[in-house]
Amino acid sequence: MKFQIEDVTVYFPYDHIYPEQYSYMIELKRALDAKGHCLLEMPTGTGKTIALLSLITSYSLSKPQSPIKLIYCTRTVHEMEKTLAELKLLHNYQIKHLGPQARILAIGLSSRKNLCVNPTVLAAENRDSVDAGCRKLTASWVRAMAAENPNVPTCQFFENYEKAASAAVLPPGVYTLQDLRAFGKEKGWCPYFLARHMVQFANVVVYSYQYLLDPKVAGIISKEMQKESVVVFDEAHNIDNVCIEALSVSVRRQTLEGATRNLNRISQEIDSRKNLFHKLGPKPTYAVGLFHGRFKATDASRLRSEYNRLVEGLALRGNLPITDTWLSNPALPDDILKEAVPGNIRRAEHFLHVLRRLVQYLRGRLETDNVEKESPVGFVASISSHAGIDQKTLKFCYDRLHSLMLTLEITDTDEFLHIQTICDFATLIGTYARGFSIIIEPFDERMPHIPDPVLQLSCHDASLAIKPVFDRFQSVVITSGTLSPIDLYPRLLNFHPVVSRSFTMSLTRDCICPMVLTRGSDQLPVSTKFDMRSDPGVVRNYGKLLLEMVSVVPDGIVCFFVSYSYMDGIINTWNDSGILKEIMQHKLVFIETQDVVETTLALDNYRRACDCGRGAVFFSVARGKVAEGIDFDRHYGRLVIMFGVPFQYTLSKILLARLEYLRDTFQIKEGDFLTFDALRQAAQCVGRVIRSKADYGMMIFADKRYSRHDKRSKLPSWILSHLRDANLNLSTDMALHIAREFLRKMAQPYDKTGGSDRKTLLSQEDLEKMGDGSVHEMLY
Amino acid sequence: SETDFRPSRIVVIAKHVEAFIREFFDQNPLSQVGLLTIKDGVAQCLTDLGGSPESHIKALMNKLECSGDSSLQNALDLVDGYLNQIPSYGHREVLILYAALSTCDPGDIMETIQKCKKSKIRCSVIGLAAEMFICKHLCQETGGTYSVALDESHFKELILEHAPPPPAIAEFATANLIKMGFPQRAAEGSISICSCHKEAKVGAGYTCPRCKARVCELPTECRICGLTLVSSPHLARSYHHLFPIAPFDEVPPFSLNDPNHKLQRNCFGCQQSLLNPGNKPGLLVVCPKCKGYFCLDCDIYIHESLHNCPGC
Repeated sequence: MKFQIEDVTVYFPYDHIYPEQYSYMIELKRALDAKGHCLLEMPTGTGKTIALLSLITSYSLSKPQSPIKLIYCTRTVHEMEKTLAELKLLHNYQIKHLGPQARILAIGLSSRKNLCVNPTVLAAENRDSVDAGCRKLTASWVRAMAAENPNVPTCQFFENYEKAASAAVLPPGVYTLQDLRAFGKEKGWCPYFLARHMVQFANVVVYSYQYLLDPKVAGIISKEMQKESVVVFDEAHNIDNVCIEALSVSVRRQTLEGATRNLNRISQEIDSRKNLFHKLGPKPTYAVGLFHGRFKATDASRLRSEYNRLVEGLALRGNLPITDTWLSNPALPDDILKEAVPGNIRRAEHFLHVLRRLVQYLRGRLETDNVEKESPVGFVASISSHAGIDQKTLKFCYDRLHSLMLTLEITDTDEFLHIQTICDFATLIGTYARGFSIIIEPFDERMPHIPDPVLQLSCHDASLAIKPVFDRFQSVVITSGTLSPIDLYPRLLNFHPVVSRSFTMSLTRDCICPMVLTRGSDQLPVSTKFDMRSDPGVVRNYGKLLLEMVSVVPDGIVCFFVSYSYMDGIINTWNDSGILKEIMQHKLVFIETQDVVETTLALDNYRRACDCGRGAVFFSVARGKVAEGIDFDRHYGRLVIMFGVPFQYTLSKILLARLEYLRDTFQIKEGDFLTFDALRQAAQCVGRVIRSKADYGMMIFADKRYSRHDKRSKLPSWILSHLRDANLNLSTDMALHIAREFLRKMAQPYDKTGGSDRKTLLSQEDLEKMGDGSVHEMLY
Repeated sequence: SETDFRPSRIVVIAKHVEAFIREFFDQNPLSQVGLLTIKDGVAQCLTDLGGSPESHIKALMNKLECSGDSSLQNALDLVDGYLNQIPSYGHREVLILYAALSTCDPGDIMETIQKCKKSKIRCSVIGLAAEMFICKHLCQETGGTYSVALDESHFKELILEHAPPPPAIAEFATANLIKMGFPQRAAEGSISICSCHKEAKVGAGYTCPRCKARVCELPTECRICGLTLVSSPHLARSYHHLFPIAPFDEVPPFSLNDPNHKLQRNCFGCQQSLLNPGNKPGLLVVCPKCKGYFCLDCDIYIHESLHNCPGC
């Protein structure tokens, strides 16, 4: 269908549109008009993605003189593929209606692991080794070597891509990662580099958050994006955590040991080249497999030329071949000094000495028995007095290391992750004085017997990493199913949205049934509050609740616990008291573990048990992998039980430091932030069960604290609007009764389009008939 | 253990199954029913396929108990074994009344569902508590309907919906000729030994047209010569869904007074006068085929119960 929103003709690939999609588009359009940022909350299953895509592409089509680019950020590769598939549908529709001028180029960009088509490289098991494998074949010096010595392996796909040079372009169209690989295979071009190249020209780019938020990656990939871009962060409820992680580093003992090994290796390399320069001897007894016996003399001269380059300044990245670029500086672009590298680290040996001293110093700091917390300023001062490294030197560590490794022509970068971490750390503390703190913990608080010292540089200010994005791009759209309370995000990320709105879901029937369960069947309150959680009465009541529920709810049930340790404890107790056995008579039990493979297997079998009618319960942890990324739609999740309020581990030093910072800088109260964070996790967990309007599911919040207004009011409005007052303070028996009634009601056939009074599908005529006003009336 | 149906699920179900069986034979006198029970993880045959409502109901009432897990797969396997023997002109249908919320199966139930689909067995399920994915899947695959009862009256409604046969599916209906006898009702006073009860009975029997043996009830199969014995209304009732009688046309009252028209003053069905008291013409209808006039009462009777126009 196609319709007008103010001056924009919107092409929408389906015959009907939900009213909330329509109002979502209106708000989005206004934000684009105002060239400002916006914050939009709309429940999952209402077609956020297609609404976004179709409005933004239509907007750009209707203003051909100033086309805007869409940068769509997703959290996972799976979401990326889904987005591109929808875009493809939309694109076909637009071409059908507008003809070839509607053609756009849309690509997904991911790591080499997902895009590489070279079978020898792909054989590597993780992302870092695929990257390294690729570099081994495509680095400029390797290729130069291969030009002389045909026995040196190179990547055929990359060679072809290079040969095609400027002819290597993607014809317009929508390319999923799969399509890119297929295209690359067919043409014999490397899909990864082709995609990286085409990113600058594409109208729509879909990639992961990191490519914009993590300065190390963004510096390479997203450097040349135009200002007239719309950046969309989908599923952005955790965006502040992503920002913080992008600027946080943790150093453990293993890191330091690895760094020492790396340093030894680098110094070997340097020495061998030096010696060679003096001796010019022909016997390459030291070759470590990295560089092959060719013009040895040039190696040493290269070190010297590097020195000269460093004197002039570090403006070296501009002229590097594409394959040699590595991660760029971890600090944000504006904070990188544009000056020459300090004299004391220009020479490779000197730089190595500095790094050795730094590693030595960090090792000394890790040997502590107490928890220590320091500000970056204090830490830098202490480094300077104990190790004699000043702030400016620290700041240049990362770039200097990068330059050195290039000079030494090191390709197996995955081996050097440890020293990279150290330099990353050094550069960050050298650059930032505020918004960070350094915390050294000698052991994990939960396991005080096992010494596991860790030094963490933790960023507290989510606005740091995202600031360049807000500054650079015309519009940034932050959207998710759970952004409540919506006024907190602008404060956390420190920006001013022109539009911030929360939409509810228009439903033909009440297909979600949230309940707050505060008491067990014996009328005693249930809670995971610290002083109550180990109370046998609470554990028993939780067990009874689940036991009753498995006997009335068909197919799949998902349970979320507040932490792994709590889950382990409660399952053990249930096992001892025989409750688990009784549960197993009704349904099979699957448990999430910290092991990804094990969890995947458990999920797989859980789905099978739901499919074949045996029924199953999945025990999972809020904030775990399952809570974030796995959908339990349809019969895979008819009921989700949230046992307790998933507060963060409040004794964690990092969290305390962050809370303090938030209070001092943004005037956000500790309690407010903790509740907000816990409730968004809870909403995420329970939101897993409903992924479309035809679906139905129940949600039980099993904790007495949910009945309090300050907690409850932070739930997203689409849940709140279905939470009736009668369901706020339930005991197990009452919940059971409601569940029975609900399931019976939902099993009845229903009319998908909705009655005349609750219209939930609008056709083109409907939209033409009414102005904006009536849609608003209908929704609110 | 569930207390949503009172006095208990099994009693309520049995009551309505009894009503269903009677209704079913009323609507499909030529069809046969067999009962299965699913309990303790196995499926058992309660009664073989047969045409006598009384024997089914008796067997059902004697065996009212439930326990253990239920296994849909075992039940379907058993059903498949029985219904596969039915000749191709018969509809193969299963109605599953499923009280459990899970199924505990020995093997892959999906295969069994495909097997049922292949043997063209239409499976319908009535659930008692909540929608189960596997039941929905089964019904979708085999073309049946799935419903969940809200309460007792809704359950009754749902189960009785299954009494009329489903619309025939073209590929099922392979034409076959079957030999059938239409026995005449014996004279009222005659005494003969009936072949079904093996005792002498007075009057009210039927005589097989081939071997002249006496049977008590229709429809049945002659015990002596094996001929299928039916009466024409039975056939009509069984097939009325396939060959419904055309709706009768309403006759405008003035045509009665039309002198050119040969007036038919009595209803063709009940022979009552078609005129209301006071000689005012009442509402009447005419069969489009045989042009017989009927009163409204007969119209309703013919279309809803008899399915057979006495005129044609």
